[in-house]
Amino acid sequence: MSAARYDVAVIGSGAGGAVQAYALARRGLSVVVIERGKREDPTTFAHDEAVQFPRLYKHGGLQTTVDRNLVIAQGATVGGSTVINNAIWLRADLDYVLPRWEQAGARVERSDLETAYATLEKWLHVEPLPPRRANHGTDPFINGARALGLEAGLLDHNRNTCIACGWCNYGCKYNRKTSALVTFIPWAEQRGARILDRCLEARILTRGDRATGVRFVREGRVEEVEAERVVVAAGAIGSSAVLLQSGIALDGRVGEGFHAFAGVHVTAEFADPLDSFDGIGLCAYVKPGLSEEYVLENYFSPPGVFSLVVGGWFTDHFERMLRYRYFAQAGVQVPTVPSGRIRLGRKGDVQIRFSLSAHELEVIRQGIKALGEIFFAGGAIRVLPATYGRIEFARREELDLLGKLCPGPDDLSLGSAHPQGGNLMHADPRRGVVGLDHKVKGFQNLFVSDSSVFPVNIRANCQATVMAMSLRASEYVAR
Amino acid sequence: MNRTMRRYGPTLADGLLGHACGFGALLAAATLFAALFFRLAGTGRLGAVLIALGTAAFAALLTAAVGVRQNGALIDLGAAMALLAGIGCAVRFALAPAVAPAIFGALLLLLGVVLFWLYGATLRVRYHPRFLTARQLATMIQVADAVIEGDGRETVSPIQVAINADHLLAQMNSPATKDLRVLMVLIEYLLPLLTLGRPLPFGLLGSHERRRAIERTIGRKGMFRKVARSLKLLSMIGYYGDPETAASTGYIPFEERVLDQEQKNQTPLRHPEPV
Repeated sequence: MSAARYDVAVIGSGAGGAVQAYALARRGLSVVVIERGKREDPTTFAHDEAVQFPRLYKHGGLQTTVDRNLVIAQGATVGGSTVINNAIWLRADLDYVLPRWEQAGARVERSDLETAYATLEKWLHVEPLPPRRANHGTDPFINGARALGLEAGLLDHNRNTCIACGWCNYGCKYNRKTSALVTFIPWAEQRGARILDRCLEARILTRGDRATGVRFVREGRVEEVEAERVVVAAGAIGSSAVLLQSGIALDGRVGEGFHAFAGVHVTAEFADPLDSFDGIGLCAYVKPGLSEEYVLENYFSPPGVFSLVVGGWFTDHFERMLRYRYFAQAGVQVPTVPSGRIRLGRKGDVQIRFSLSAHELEVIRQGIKALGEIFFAGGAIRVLPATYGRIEFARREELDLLGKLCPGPDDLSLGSAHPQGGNLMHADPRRGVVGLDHKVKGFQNLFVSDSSVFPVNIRANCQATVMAMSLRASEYVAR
Repeated sequence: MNRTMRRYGPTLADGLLGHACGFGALLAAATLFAALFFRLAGTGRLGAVLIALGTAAFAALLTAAVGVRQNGALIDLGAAMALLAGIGCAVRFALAPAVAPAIFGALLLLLGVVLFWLYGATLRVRYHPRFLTARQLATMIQVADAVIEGDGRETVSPIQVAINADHLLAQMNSPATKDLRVLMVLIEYLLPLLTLGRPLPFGLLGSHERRRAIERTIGRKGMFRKVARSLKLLSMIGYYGDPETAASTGYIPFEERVLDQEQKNQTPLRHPEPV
């Protein structure tokens, strides 16, 4: 078997991998991208949850922590999570993030990130989300927040002439979302990069302190590529798994320090129909202060997923769903501490061992309460957090009962679309998994470039910062 | 996902199953008769057990055959009783070889196997499950029937909900799907015992009792909650993920909304490389 030879092999094609592939190909390096998921033709995407979930999501959307209390949504297709995200471009608040990263041993220059953000914003057509395309539940959310004196507004997004069908989480069939699938991936190909999809069981090949290539199974055949440099960009969870499965554990440090930007949805019922399904799902947020521990963003989804986050059972749930047109929705998200672990089970299966702390749960409850107050101020007649049982609040004062009604994590329907950590960045050669140059400790030419390197949670939707860090990392990989 | 299969009428396998149940009931009756009057299994405990099994098999299969309450669990129960009665005859034959127990034993064992296979075949032929086994699909239908409760306003049948869930699971590449298979088996054979104290299969319970079993599952903590969450997940995504149901909630597909000029242009954009 003669293996093809490249300057760089990139494992993963999402926000981290696709940017890396393009940035390196742009420099004239020969690049191969090895992606586990399938390459999809966006024009064949359907407005059908049952069709798109298995097609685009990792584990069909059923990825959870070992205790099953947290659902973690990630993309599993060429383009990764950028294909299924809400195309929200939220720069991390660097005044919040950088001091925390430095304290955790990872000093990153502000100017590096700001330059990368600015470049990417130009490339990806980032602009303020137009109000006429926001979903119809956005106004009560923003108005309610402003009535309470909070700073709320529409977010920036990476879309070009979006027509607001509301199906961003299932792939954009109109290519209005500038996901990696329709930007960095074809751009990298134009520069000579090769994209290999459906590559299972990727393993990094090593000799001494050097990575020599990648082995994987494609269409039932074992294949190998040789590479001068290997970049692992399979996302938080995936990148730790690839390293561990390749026998790179760094004395147990690989997989340590997993964290998430996690939370729950809160649904609000209004007296008149809103038709929140009409428009972009995630549009607005309440800007958090420097010390605040949660972020509030509005959101809406098609009926299938909506039915899962609306609490209640039997007739009660059925009745609620009949009032689908009357609801608005938002989510509270909390940056958790890096207390989780990615591990391999006895059969080589990937395990996410992570639980929210009592404090984090309390912060989520505070966020739910804040969202309840916002929606009541915006005119809601009822507020329904995404709980296991049937809980609804008809008055502001009732929100104080939340702690009593939802004492544990399994009383809430918790989810995260922004997993981070597992291959933490640290300047000390004996700590963390990668150095400030994204190079895996003990290796000359093996890098990690995705949210798994974030030493502390960025308290924001990940896409922008993953891409910015990846663009920054490409400088080190190219050297 | 193939959404074209929407008719679930009786098939040839259903007819065969009905006849097999009728024949099974007759055979069980004959076994019972022989055990009572011709000491098929001799006297003592073995005889009593055989009489009890024959009676149970007869009752279950007769009920299934005449359609008073023909359902999978009842047929499974009748088949299981027939198998056990067949084993009883075989034991009798091993203790004291004779022609009658050998013939009855062989026939009962054959009947049990045929009934099990035939019932599975009817489900497979009718619903074409892609991920769950035929019996697991039958359990999922019962679960959907209990969980989706709209007092007659449901737009999609529990059968379609179960099939939607099955087809979805078939396309998923997730370790969790295997757990869901096991879950269906546990629900069928353990849930009624654990929640209602009744050692019967879930499918044999009445619809009211099935709902009660799920209510009690929801009300408990620990593993029961995870079971309840899984049942909700499968039922909801099977029901509300169906386009027919989506319309019943008031959801309007994008193409049918009032669109402005910009929205009417749905040509996929190309994004040229930035220079």
